[in-house]
Amino acid sequence: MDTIRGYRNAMGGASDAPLDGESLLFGPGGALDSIGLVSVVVELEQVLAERSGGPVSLMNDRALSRSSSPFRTVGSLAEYAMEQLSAHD
Amino acid sequence: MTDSPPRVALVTGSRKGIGRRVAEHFLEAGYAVVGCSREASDWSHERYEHFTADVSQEDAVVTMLDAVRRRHGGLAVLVNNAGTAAMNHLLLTPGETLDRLLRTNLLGTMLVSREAAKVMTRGRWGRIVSFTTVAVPLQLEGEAAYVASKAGVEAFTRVLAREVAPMGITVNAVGLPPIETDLLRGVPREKRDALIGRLALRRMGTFDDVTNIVDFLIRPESSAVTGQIIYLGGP
Repeated sequence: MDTIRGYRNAMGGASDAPLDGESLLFGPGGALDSIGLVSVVVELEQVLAERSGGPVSLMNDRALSRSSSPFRTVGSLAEYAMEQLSAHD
Repeated sequence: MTDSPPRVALVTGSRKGIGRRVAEHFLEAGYAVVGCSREASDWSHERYEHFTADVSQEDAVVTMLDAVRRRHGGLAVLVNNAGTAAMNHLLLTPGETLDRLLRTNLLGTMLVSREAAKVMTRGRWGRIVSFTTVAVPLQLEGEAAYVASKAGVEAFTRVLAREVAPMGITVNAVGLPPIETDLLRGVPREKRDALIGRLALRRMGTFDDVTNIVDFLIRPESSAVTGQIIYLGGP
């Protein structure tokens, strides 16, 4: 959530919609525009890389083919990010 | 967000030829330079770090750019120089050669650009320059696979420029004429002369021609120049 807030602040508060685990990341009523989603995923990868000590990729065929997209809500992305971080431990 | 990214440049294929000259040019300009090639480097500099990495191998590219981010905290410039060529009639070109050309020239450019742009995105500033060839607009016979791979680089350049423009990153390509490198040494003299004869400028290109256009494209003042393919020599 900090990463998303950071991006929105950097963009001059492009959206001030409330943010919680159920917030949609993208699309109508979403927290981010398309470039915002890209920027947040890239930033998140780098934050996770710093924590894990090695490169972390959030975009892979397994993630993209899940029946429930990890990129749907703030909560699902956070959960998925933690999964990827654990996989590197 | 930063107005002055770390003066760090990544040059692929920097062990020899044009890549080495571009890397040395950046070193003279005060940059920290990261380079890579499939083989170990036989030259060194206090601000130069070499990775033995094949640009067509995703893991190697991801690891290299992760190291750049950790060590330097950002990246200002990427020059996609690593490339390979094969001059042969398509009907006589083995599948392995086609695969190698496309993997190194096109896939390699795509992988390194993707990972470099991720590092650049954090600083919201970046310059990506890839090398293509005058053989693309000249539709040079005998180089179908090489030309196809570089035409792919050109299309990739134009689309990537649009995708990363919001992140403050420009993406351009420079179409090189024949330049005295190992890549050209295998081309028969008459073929080389015939190619030069089809250019507006009837001479070989030089390393200075290359660094001059790279310098122009990476200047802060060139922030509006993106998605362009600039050919040297006037094909």
